[in-house]
Amino acid sequence: MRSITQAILWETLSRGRWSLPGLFLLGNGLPLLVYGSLYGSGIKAADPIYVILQFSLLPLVILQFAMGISIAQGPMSRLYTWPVSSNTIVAWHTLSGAAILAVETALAAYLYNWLFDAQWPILGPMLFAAVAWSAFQLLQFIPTQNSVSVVFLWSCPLFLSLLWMMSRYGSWLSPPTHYWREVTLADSTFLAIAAAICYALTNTGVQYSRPNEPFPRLGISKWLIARWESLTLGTWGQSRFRSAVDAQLWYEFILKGWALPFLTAVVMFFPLITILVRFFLPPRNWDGVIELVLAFGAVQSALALIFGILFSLEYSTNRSDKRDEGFEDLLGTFYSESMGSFLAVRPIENRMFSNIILWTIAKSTALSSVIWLAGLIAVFLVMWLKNQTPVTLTVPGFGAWLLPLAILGPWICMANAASFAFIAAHRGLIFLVGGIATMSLLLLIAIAQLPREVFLQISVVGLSIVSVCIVMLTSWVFYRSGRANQLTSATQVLSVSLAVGILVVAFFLRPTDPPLVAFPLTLAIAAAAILPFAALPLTIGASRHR
Amino acid sequence: MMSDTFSSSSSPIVTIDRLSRHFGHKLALNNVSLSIPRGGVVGLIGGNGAGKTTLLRHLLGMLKAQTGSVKVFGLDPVANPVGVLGKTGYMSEDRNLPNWMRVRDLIRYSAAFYPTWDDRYAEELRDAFDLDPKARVGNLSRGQRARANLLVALAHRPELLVLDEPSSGLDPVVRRDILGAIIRTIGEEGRTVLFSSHLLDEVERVADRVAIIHEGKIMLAASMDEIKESHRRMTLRFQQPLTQAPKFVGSLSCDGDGPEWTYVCSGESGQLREAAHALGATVVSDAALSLDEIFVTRVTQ
Repeated sequence: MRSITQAILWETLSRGRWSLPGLFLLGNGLPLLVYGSLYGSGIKAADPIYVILQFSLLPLVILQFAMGISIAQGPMSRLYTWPVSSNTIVAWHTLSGAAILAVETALAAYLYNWLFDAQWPILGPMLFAAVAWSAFQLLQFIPTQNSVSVVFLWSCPLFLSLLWMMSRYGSWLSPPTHYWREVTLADSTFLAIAAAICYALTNTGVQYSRPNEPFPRLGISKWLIARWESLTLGTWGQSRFRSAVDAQLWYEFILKGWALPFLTAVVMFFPLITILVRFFLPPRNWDGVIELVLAFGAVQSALALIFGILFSLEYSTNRSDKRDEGFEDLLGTFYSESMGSFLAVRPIENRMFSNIILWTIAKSTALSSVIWLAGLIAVFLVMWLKNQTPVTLTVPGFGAWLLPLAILGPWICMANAASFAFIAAHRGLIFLVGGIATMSLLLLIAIAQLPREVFLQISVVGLSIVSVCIVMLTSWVFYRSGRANQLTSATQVLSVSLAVGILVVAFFLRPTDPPLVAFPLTLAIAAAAILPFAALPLTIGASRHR
Repeated sequence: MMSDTFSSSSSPIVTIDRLSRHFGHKLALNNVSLSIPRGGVVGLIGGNGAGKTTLLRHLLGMLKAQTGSVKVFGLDPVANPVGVLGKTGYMSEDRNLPNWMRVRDLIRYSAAFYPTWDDRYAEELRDAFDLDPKARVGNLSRGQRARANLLVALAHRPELLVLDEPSSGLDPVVRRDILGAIIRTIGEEGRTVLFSSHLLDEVERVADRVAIIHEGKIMLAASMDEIKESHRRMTLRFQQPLTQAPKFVGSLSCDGDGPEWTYVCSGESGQLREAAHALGATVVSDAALSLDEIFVTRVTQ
């Protein structure tokens, strides 16, 4: 290497040989799925939904690309002992990351435009991505001591930048109406100033971080944490635990279980406030609010999938040795291939550990569903009081399965994600999702070329195969778990009862003329609901006794 | 007579039989057999990557024996974690503790798992270690974190205390606390301490027995006295200058030229002197070795 710049570039590309392409694929997965299904359904790019989609998907895509670049670059602190100024360190990290992110964003836009005629603008999002990277750097390298500061520091610029972005796609605080095609001088100036501010602040952060000096604090996060602890711990936080199970239930819920109901409460807060406000105002169109509340029933499952992975996380590595962390270090801090020694040496059986986690998941998803249902009931109540047309919770061809599925979905997603996450390394998770995205891409390209009838036939066959695989996997896992003496008779009775219960409910709430694929799918859902009872003790064992 | 297991009249608390472990292509433990008797302090010494942590993790069930077997209190730690871990205290090398807990929560939480947890002793230790109950574990210094880990490992008065590199990277005051804890623990009858370290002066101060592990193999396991008695540095003078050192019984290494050669050897002083006379050499000096010298000689052999 002839220069430090060359060495850093080589290091980034070498370290990022998996994360850069992996997260590029992962980041493109959701847009490709969404555009593929719209394109396959015959909805053309002129439809206004494409503008809303582009606005919604762009930040997600940029965030995932940024994660890949962050992993590739590594923590900035590795450069602190080099004979270079802090300005130079920040400049290297910021400029190289911004360039890669801008190129990836442009490539993604070209890809969607080429595949689906999506008409994504190129220049504006490219510039926004480059500036977003500066902000990402800033947030990574301001030394933070607690998660509240991290959430605060991450959410404020995110909120402000989204507001600004919204103004490029229409007006403030209203749905986007057109693409951001023209980058004006004002836009460029704003972005340049934002990048300069981020650069200056990151520099200041590094000035503190490099000699390991504490960053000035206002104490807001300390105050917030104290309030949160007094709310969540209550008397549980003071008294002695009655047993090891009690203590572990506390550990799991305080650390992981509260996340889903908390987020549901936050999300449901907005429609409920809207409902209250509208209750006192002349009747308007309620569809948006109802759709939001109903949609969140389905979104809960997706969130539960993410929060399920939390159950395998540790939050235990000694952070006092670290001055700042790259994204991979953060993952490594929270996540390792094997269970950390603190939990692994708890004198508790694997199946008991599993029961505790499953009980926490049941509590978490039940609380979340209760909050969601409360929101739903509130909407219906207000509609009834306002003499609005009642909405039935049925979807054509879907019978009355919507509500039970919305309640069961989070359990299935969270419990299975928790089971899987115990045996998957974080790289494995990233590349699994990347692999799914790649497969989806190939599938979608094929589907885009096929007539609708063929597409439907492929879907039916694909879903049937997946369903049979889930049922077979469940049977095999139960067999293995039974042989490993991880299934108590109570668990077996509970599993059978739950599966039968799901099938009975599905039968009584079935649509009048269900499609053939509904039968294997129902079986698969029942199997997926009971799979964690057998899988979790095994995966905990695999993680605990490597 | 030294072997890869300790001779003792008491029943073994740990029995490892032909244990091997691979991590990918790397052989971390190679057919290790070791029996640790109940009571006393056992020091497990070895260089970085020798297999100390891997061995200790097998005892706690964090690693499953790929070949061979591990028994602690006569139980398989993987099959019976409650039976083994309920009577074992563990201080990990990486001081793996939940950062989000406060010290008081850590104590309260840990107490729930052990029926033998002694609240008064825990409070005594917390006080002695100067740990603020309101402090968050993630904000503790490295030394305080080690103390918190030690508190949790000790307060249920475990029959077996396993310490993995307990003093690594710590200042002398914290190291003194840890050694004090080891001494306190063995003050209680029948309790066993197994600790790994590469700080050999520490091991020399507190261990009754020592096992040397190198490249995944137990090279030596014996009481400290036996080890010291059986390793000598002996300088021999031969009647004529020699270009090559003659073979000497029990020789582990040798250095010198001309008529005078210095051997580091394994064996009793009397036997070695007899062997020297048989070679026609006179013994110029005969000294015991420190554990540090024995270790270096053994692993560079």
